[in-house]
Amino acid sequence: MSADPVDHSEEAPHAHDNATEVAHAWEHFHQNWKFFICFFGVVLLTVITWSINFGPKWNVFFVFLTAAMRCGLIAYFMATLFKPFSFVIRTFIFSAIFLAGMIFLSMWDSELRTIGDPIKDRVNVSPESHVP
Amino acid sequence: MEIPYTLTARPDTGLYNGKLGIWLFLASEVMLFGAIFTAYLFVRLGAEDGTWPDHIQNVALGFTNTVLLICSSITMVWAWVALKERKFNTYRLALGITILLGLGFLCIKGVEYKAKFDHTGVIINEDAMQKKYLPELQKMDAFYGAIPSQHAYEIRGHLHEETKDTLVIMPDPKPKYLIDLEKKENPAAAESGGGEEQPITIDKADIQRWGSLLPKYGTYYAIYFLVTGLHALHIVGGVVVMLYFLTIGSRLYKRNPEQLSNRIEVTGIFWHFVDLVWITVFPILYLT
Repeated sequence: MSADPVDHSEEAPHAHDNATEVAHAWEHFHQNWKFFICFFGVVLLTVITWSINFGPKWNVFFVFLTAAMRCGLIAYFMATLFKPFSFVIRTFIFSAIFLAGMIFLSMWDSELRTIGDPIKDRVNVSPESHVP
Repeated sequence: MEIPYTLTARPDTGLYNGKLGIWLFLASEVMLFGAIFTAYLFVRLGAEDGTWPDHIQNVALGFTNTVLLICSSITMVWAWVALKERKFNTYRLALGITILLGLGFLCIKGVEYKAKFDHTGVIINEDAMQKKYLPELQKMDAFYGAIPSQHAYEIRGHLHEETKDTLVIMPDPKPKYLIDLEKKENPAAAESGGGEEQPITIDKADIQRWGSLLPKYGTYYAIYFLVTGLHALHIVGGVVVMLYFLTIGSRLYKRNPEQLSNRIEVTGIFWHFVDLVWITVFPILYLT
């Protein structure tokens, strides 16, 4: 395993600075509070835009906009959690690659070249094409 | 033998044992939910016209649940901060509120499930629908949807009575968005609607299939119950763990408050994850 730059003072017994930890905890709390308020706002905006008919073109635009906002917020929140943890980042990158691989394999297995209409198209696949 | 790194971070991972464990667990959870969301994507793309219901969910209840979970995430962090400050009573208050919010979520979920169990969907043959039932449904402004690939129509409502040969259904009214659309497209025709709601009798011979809005009724309901059921199980798991730390588990505070705060931090990470999953689930299953 590669050597990460680590502050080894943490290993020393009784090295806890409680005041610093409490300050850190409050910082964390305030960050979370703001984040979840943002999330509430975005979900509320999603519901409002969903309930209004802007017309076909703009409906799609708002669906993508609110979805992008939700994804962005989740990504931001995850980034704030992962920042100091390189090992965890590596684990999650692996998970993401694994998931992408699973999706790719599922599509490849269903003999589809794009995400189209997999269930319907699968019915039309000739039996010979499944021979390895 | 004392287990190392229960309180302090291990140098190579930068995490104490519990936190490393929960992140690895959540990595597996990402794969589990990721696989289900992928299945959702495939099922949604493969759905024939008219088979994927829209405006079927109670958005107000779903949104209320979103608010409950968001609030519970905040109180969860509050409980952790209180432990760090060694304020035990505040910790218990915050954790108690989090548990109540989690239970509130489950209660609302139960109400939503009950509504699905009590609701009935009927798939009627195209010919019979057009000849026998459509005029009556149009007159009372009830909802109906065409399923071209199955040469059928769907109506949904509450089952009043079932006899050997017939079903008596109180059909759902047309959703507001459909009425608005019709008004836009044809103002004169839209004015004529709005009749009185009344039950409709359907011959069983005209029905392709019917049933409560349960997983076996349709793909949407299968994926809805799978995703929300699995998510609800996570909520139950979280609430059970929190109840433990509110009662028996809180004895650890006297012996080692720092370890208890680590455990609450780990529980909080799990709770945030469950919250984020819901925020992903809500738009895709409710705002359809």
